[in-house]
Order: sequence, then C-alpha cells, then structure tokens
Amino acid sequence: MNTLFIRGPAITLRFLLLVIVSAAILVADHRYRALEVPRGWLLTLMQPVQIIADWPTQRWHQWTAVVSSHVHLMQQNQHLRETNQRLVLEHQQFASLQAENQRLHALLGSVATASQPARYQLARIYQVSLDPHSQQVQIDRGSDDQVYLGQPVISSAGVFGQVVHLGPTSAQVLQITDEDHAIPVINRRSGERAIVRGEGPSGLLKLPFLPAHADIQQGDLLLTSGLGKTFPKGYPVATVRSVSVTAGNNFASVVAVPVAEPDKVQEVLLLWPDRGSLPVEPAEMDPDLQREDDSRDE
Amino acid sequence: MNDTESSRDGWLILATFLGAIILDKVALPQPLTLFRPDLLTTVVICWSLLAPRLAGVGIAWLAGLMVDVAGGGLLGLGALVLSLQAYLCLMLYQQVRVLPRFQQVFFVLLVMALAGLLEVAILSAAGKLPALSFWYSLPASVLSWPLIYGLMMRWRLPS
Repeated sequence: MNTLFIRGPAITLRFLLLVIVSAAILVADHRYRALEVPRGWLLTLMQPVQIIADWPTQRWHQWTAVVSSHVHLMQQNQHLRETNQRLVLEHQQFASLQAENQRLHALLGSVATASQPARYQLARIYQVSLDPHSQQVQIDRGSDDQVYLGQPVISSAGVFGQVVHLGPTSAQVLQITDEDHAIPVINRRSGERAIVRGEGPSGLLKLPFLPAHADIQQGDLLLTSGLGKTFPKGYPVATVRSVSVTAGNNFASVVAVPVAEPDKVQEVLLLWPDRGSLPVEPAEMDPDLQREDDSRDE
Repeated sequence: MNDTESSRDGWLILATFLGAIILDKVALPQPLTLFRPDLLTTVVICWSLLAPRLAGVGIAWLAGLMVDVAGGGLLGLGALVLSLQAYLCLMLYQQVRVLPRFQQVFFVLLVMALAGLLEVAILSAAGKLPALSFWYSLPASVLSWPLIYGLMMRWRLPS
C-alpha cells in the first residue's frame, strides 16, 4: 500500500514531463516540420489499424456493388464505353497537337511548358476518418513506391492535393480544400494569375488578395499555373462559383468549387511531373542568357 | 490484487484502447460523423478511474500520440489532451468513485469540456480555429461514458 503515498507527486511530475514533451513535439512538428521521419515510422506502425478500420466501409462498397441492379450496371457500362470512346478520339489528336505546340514554342524561342507527366500511378484512398480539423486522406502508396513529400496528387477530374506525410507503404495527402493549402492558378479565360486557398470544412476554395477590378467571373475555370513548382502546369483546379465586390473594399471576395469533388473520390493518381513541365530554375537557364545578364551588370 | 489479476487487467486495458482507436477511425456518413463519441477519451477516463494503478498518464499520452500520427493533424495535441484528462481522473479518482452516478457523469463532462477548451486554444494558436461543430461530439462522448464504465466494472475481476 505504500504506493498510495508516493503516487500523487510522482504522477504530477510525470504529467508535467509529458506536457513539456508534448509542447516540444507540437512546436517542432508544426513550426519547423522537423519530425517527418519519425512520423513516417509511426505511420507504418499504425497501418494495421487503418486497414482494419477501412475494412467495414470497403465491404459496404463491395456489397452495394453486388446488389446494385443489372440495369444500373448496364447503364454504367454504357456510360463508361461512351466516355472511353470520346477520350480515345480526343487522344488521337493529342500527339499532333503537342508536336505542333512544341514547334510553335520553338519558333517563338520559348520553352513549351504543358506536357504529359513522366510517370503516374493509381493509389487507393483508405476510407477512414482522419483528423477532423484538416482535410486529409490516407493512400496505400508510400516511399517504397517512390512517392515523395510534396508530390502532386490528382483525381480523374482535377487537382486533388499533395503528399504531406510519408511512410514506407502509405502516405497522407493534404487536399486543396485545407486551410493550410494554397495553389497558384491561372484563369483559363482571361489568363490572370491568382492564388487559390482552401476554406477548411466547407469544402470550398477562396481567392484572397484579388483586386476588385480583376477580370474574373462566375464559371471561370482555374488551371494550375506551375509557378509553385509543386504542381505541373495546366491541370484544372476549380471553377468560380461567386464573385462579389463590396464598395470601399479593394479586394474582391471570390469563392470557387474544386473540380475534383474530393468527397466522392475513392482512387487518386500520383504524378511524377516531367522536369520540362515545371518552370526553369535560374541556375538551369541557358548559360548564354546568364552570361548576357552578367555582362549587363558589369 | 495479485499479479495474475493485474496482468489480466493490463491486457484488457490494451485491448480496449486498441478497440477504441479502431472504432474511432471507422468512417461514418458525413452528418453522423460530427456527433460520434470520442471512444478513446471515454476509455481513458474509465480506466483512470477504475484501475488507477495500471492505467497511468503515460499510456494515455502514447495512445494520443498514435492517434495524432494516424490522423495527420497536429502532432502532440491529442497526446497532451488525453494525458491531461487521465491526470485529472488519477488525481481525483478517490473522491469521484464515491459520488452517485449522476454526479460522476457531471465530473466527466467537466473533464471533457476542459480538455476541449485546451484543444481549441492550441488549435487557434496554430491558426486552425475549429468550427462550432467541434463541440457536437461532446454530448455523445459524455453519454457513452456511463455505458462503457458499467461494462468495464463487470469485465474486471472483483478486487
């Protein structure tokens, strides 16, 4: 029974120690992003839990697929066939258009920026509930599949997010709707550049710091501009839902809807962008051009 | 309490922690998931009151850390919040155990609300102020406590 008397202070001491350790971890992880490696190990340790928790939802999806009617499946099949045919038709022209684009860019003396990714891979989303304060999903690919931190992730409709935490066999993807996520875009209609930020739980996006006179309207499609060096150029991100300008405010408040429909997606594509599709680093620029710059400085 | 009994309870504690973590992660449809109870918190509070010699702040902290990693959010937040709740229960278990059940539930409500306030404070300091729906899960968590507590009292060997 002697433990009864030393218990109080001992437990307080232990608790205080844990508070200090927690605070250190919070700062090191949130402010300095210094704990990605141990995070990856622990993620591996927790993967059995994710797989078990994913199982009921997975079975439910399979079961609804089994009991969905013959007619429904036929309709779905027909729809997929039509989509496939349309894509094949469009793809036939793609090669010649790409060649033509490159030729025209060469004539203008600029580097063609839109190109197909070097490699891509399909990843399944674990149907488990993650941290409710951030918009994330977990996928079944990790560093063993050459996934890297900051890797762009797209769905069949548009940009989905980027890899933020990485384990050997799984990774966590921050969606573009998260408050911490921002992505540089270009308006397809007007060519104006902007930043698209996530709005958090609402699943919408906003365009902060856009001047009130900016050329943007409802229904505009926003594409990745490739300036952030994370996402390759030319992938659809969002469509503008509303633009409102209040008198006396220098900035327009613009709300956009993600094209990717993050809630309905069950599989995503990991992209390994082609080096040519990202803007060129100053150090990698044509040496002749750089020398010209240097001589101008002198 | 002899050694075999305490080792049996130790395994029971580990099993219930793991079970709660898994159940918390099962995906639910969108509106329901806002109101779901936080089962791991409930289990931590139950064991801290029932078996204070076996379930300490350390295991609560570790469980919280693993949930943080699996959730992908702020690392260390869940660990801090869970160990705070375990600590409060461990310090006060002698007083709380003799209370009538209704007042015990009120004590659990206070502990969970305090932990929620700490969580909101840290989240907003990190620039992620949670929506009001953050609190929707509190009633279910508090109400799940007497059920799980009753079950656990039955599971344990009389001591």
